[in-house]
Amino acid sequence: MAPLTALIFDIKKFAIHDGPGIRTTVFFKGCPLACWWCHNPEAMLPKRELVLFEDKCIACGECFRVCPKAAHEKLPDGSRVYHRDRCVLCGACAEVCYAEALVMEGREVTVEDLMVELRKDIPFYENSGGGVTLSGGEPTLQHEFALSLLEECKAEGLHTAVDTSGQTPWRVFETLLPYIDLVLYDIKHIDESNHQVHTGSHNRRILANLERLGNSGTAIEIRMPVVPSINDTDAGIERTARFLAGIQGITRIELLPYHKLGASKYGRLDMKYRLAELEPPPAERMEAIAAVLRSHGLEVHVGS
Amino acid sequence: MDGYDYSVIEQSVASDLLETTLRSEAANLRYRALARQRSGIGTVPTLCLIDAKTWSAPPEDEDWLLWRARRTAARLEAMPIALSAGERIVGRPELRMPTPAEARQIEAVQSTIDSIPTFPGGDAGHFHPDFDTLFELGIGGIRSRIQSLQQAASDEQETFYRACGIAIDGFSSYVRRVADECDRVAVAHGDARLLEAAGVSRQVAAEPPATFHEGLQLMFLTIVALWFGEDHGLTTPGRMDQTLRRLYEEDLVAGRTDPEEALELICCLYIQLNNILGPGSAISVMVGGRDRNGDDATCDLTYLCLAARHATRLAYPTVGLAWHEGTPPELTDFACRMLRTGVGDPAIFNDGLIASGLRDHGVSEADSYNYMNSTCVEIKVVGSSNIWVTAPYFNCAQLLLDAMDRVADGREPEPHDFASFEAVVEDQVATAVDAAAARLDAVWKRRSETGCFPLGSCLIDDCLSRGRDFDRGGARYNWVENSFVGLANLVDGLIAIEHLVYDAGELSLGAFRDILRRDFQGSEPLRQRILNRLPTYGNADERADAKAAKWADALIDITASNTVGPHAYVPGFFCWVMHGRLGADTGATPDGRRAGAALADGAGAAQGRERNGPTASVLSTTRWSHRAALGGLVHNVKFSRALLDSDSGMGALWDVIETYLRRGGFEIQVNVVNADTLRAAQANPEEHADLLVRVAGYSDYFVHLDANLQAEVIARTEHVSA
Repeated sequence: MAPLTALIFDIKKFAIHDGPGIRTTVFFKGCPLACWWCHNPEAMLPKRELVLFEDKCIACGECFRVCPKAAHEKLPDGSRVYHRDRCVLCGACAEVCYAEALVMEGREVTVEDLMVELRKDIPFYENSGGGVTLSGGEPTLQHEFALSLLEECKAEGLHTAVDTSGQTPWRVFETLLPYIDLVLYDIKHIDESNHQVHTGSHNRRILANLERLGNSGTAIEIRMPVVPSINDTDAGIERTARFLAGIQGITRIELLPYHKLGASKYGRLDMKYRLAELEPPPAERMEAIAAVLRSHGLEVHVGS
Repeated sequence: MDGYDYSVIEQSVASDLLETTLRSEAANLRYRALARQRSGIGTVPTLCLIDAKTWSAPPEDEDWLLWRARRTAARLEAMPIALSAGERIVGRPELRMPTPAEARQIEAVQSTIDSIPTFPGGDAGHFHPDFDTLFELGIGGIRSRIQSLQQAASDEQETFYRACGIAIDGFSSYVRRVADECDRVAVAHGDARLLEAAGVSRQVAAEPPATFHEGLQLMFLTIVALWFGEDHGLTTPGRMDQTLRRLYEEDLVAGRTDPEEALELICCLYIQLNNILGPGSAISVMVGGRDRNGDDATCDLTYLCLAARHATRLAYPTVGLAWHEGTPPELTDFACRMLRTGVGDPAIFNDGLIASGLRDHGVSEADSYNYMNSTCVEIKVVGSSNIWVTAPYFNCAQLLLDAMDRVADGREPEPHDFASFEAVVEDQVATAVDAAAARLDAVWKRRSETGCFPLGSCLIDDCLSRGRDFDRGGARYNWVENSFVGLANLVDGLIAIEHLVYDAGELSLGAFRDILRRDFQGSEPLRQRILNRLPTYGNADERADAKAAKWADALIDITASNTVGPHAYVPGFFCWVMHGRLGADTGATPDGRRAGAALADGAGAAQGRERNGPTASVLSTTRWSHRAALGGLVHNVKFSRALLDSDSGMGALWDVIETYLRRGGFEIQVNVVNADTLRAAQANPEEHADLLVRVAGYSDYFVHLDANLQAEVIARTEHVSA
């Protein structure tokens, strides 16, 4: 039997914002949501994608030569154009693009491939109380693999965290929970129809899963993006606070101010960024929202 | 100590020390030192006139050592003293450009100066006097000791003691002159600070220091006397928190001082060091670590010496921290807070590892804790050693090119496999190291025949008790340290050669050499492939790290197989500014480095090759044993200021440092990056590819960000550091 594999797009070492201590975070590719403010658009599609970094191109011309579908075209003025519609994602161009102007986002890995990388930083996990975080994308989309990876991590005594959108069947969570020390759980919008508009999906399952998760006794850290005019109304925040105050097991809430630092990634993927005009929330607004949540007895940290 | 805890600095207020600003008098002195640093420090123009005078009037058959002593005394008796209003630590010589009249006088005696036998070479600076003994006995006590030893001396010893007596009398007269000069200027200008400094100086002209202020003053005058009287440049304050601790605590108990006053005096000493040394060099202070009994030595002064560095923020001195398992967490926390400010200090040294390394070389246990970094990271035993450092800096990248040349030019048969080529490289390195060792050994022998340093011998154990000059076997520990620059360039270059020439067989060694001679002109895809597709040292990649370990061990063995002077040659792996200087003269190298670019700036990854963050680079550098590398070893790590503004970032900073140390890392230094560095990275991404910045809720390599995002990060960094 071929070993189980997953499609990931990054392994980030020295991750210090994805749970306690120094961690190594595995980013799974593919997400059931499509949030307008997503700063990792390369995480959305559950398949490989070609990403272009024009400023790194050294004009060696190899991509024109190796592409079997003429997806890379040289224009008469010497500039280049990439026809994403012709591309079959064979990766031949990225293979010979040594300057890394063309990069295949997404690669297949086995559990053991990942464990080799994750084990390397054990001295740092031990010194800092850190461990391994599964993020994405949505790691539970590839739940068979995630289970196998988490089992292996726990077998080796590593602290595990899973960063999830919550948009996954409860039975999937149930199988993973015995191997998770901390869940990092996103709450993007408390209102169902708004959630539908801005993430492409309703939030019924997400909220229900969080209640069940609370009852399961798992440690939960809530992550709330604050996106001005989209999910930061006073009424919405108050409703969110009341909902969260009723959930057990929440250790703290991390408020994440909206930023547009991911905007440029959209162009490289020929995707449209819908919030180009939106400015980040002022620090005072973040503190005001934190105060509302704190007034409900919740522990809040304002991130950056 | 008597076991009583004299410390008065509450840990809760220790961080307030980093808020300390200089009082206006000290701030003014600092400003003037900064101006002198910018405009040039100058020299003491009359020193060579004094030398010429002493040389032209030698008594018949005078021993060389006696002449050296007379010369030192004459310099100290005549060297002009400069004073500034409000100075509290006094006695710097007047450094400036020669006047036209002096220039003519110097020209007139040039032939006499030229007839003085030149110093054979080797190291006489980076000097670490025994302040403990000096503070216990005072100058007068050392003079008495010389006299009593002289009674029972052999003829040869008698000459040595006579020379020491002349030199130390000269030192004493300098101290008295400083007191007199202070008095004179103080009275003329009604300067209460100078009047106080006059009294403090007069007190230590013969007597041991009785207060903290007197101890610091004697420390500075000792530095000046050794530096300008006997050419021991870069004489350092050393382990100030231990040598001055008794005086500080006695003052505290007697109510004569408080931490604020002590901090100001330390600042005054630091400022003075910037008045006697121009930019681009180094003077070191080390704090923390352990005392002679192996117990933790942390005290108030540990914090004050660090805080003074932060308050003065001048080029000198750097303040290093010796860490061991018993170092209090409050101190490491303080160190991290200080690092966050971007001052660049303290560098953290691995006390346990260095002490073990010293004991490997026959250093006693008590002495093994009493070491320090001589200026950068080269290790010397304090107060009892004649150790030459960075002798010389070897350019590993050039040695690899030289080995390629030997094959390419047909001086060496074409190696049939990679192992044979590695043997050629190893031979190239060994030839260079052996030749340097032979040269240095000849210099050591020449110096040990004459002896040069009567004043230094008064302050280095066991010169007086043995009756032998510092250079003639008087010092307790004697050896020579070198330093290898560009280990990462060598390792990454060998990986490229192994892959391209021997495994893939795409290129001959000669063809590769031609590409390098053309600085990769027309071969940019190959260069990009080397940079981006081959394993590189510094990324926790076992293929690369195993090669680095093998070569580091080889460089250590090649060094240690040589003897220089009385002892095995000692290796090191750091570069000061030599990675830039040597790199400027080194052509393109097989690791993809362009001609003229800097070499790797320490024992870790080459600049821009670290792609997996600080944890991976720590794992790579600690893949091999640093215990033998007493010549000094640096591991650089960079963090952005924004990353350190969160509690998790600060915690992670220390976790990275501590993990490095626990894995046997020798020394680690942290650069906190500001907006200027980020702009430099924008202009030259390749050299800054390892620059990690906090983007938004996560960290990423700065050069991976696109232009807009980079601009945003720069704007944010400026905001944060403002």
